Amino acid sequence: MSPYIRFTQMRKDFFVDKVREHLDRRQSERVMDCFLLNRNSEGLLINQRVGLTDPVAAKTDKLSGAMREVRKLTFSEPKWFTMVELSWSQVVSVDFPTFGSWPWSVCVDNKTYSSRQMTSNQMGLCSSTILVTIENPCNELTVAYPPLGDDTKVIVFGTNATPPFKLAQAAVQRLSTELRFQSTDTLKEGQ
Amino acid sequence: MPFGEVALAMEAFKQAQDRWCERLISDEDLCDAVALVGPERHRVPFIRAHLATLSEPLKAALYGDFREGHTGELILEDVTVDAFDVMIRSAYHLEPKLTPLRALHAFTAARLYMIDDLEKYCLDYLQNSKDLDCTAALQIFTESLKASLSLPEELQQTYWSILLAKSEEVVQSPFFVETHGSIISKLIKLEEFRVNEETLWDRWSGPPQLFRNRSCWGPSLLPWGPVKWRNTTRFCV
Repeated sequence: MSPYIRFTQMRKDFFVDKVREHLDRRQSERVMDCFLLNRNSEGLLINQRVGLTDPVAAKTDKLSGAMREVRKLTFSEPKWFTMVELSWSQVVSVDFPTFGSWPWSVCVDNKTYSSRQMTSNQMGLCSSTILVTIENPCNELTVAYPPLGDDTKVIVFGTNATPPFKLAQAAVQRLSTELRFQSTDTLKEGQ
Repeated sequence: MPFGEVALAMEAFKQAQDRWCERLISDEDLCDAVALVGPERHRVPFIRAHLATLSEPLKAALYGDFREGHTGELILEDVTVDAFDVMIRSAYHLEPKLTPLRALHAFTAARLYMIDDLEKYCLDYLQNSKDLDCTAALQIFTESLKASLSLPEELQQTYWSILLAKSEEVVQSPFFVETHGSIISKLIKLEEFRVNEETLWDRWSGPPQLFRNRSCWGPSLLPWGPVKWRNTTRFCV
């Protein structure tokens, strides 16, 4: 069995209908074991191919404000923002009526997203998250938030906006030894 | 005469010059030599003086004491028809009409016959052309492997980057089934080659009726190895 084909990433019916018949019994059983019993056989690659990954970029900024404030956060590299989280300590600052009447908001890529929803954990920490969907990478976003106290933090999640080709170039640089053609490569097919 | 009319007149004259140059290629009566191009020795008439200006080796072949100087026949078995067309068009001051494959063939020929400027021009095209996509990258890699041509490192890196950046398009490329086994072998080993395994399998194995009458050959990438089927490299049981 080719160690590089991820048979277990196929749908079960696809494997049974189209693939299984082309493998020998032992090879087929290995994959079936994985499908039925979640049992991993040695040499069977079960993970999905990773693809070109871009490290997640996160930024945490401490906000201060007993007053309602607007804060612009800037980033040195453009990023695809995906989520912004506002967190604060309930004990010190929470004011549910205030938070409910003054929703906090995030403005990025000429769009504004707002939320009045919050959750709190047993430690007394409250948080509220806003999911962001933007079309273009940006290097700044604006947060407007109600008065929540000095320990308020905003955490921005996102990915670097590196174009796929640049990511691929970096991967190719890293893999250059594996990818370089050997002189024997030309002979393999031509004969 | 107003400036606009002058520009139009110049453009019209330039087009006439291009037509005259095109006639140097199409009108065999004007030619004084014949190139026997490629392994099939395809006959291509040409004008000796123009080709000789491209490089010293060509000038020596056409005007020196070699056999070609006397017979008017230039044997270029290791030059493709495409590459010779690019050489001739370049010598006649015509647009060489590069495509990725023509550029690769012309690059090889230019390197062989020491036509430095054409080599650089083709290399630049192969590196930066907007025509480069997954299919072109697969074709160029495959052609270079078949011709035992060592592509410059930077070109190889560019093509690998194209293939990795557009992994799904690689598998969907019409040329995928004809791609050299060494390229597929390297690609499928990579975690970075993000493809749907079912699509990969479908593109490899093809319709069930194609499984018949295949004989295994070449390196064994899969347990069953690649097979040759109607001039295409595929993988099957």
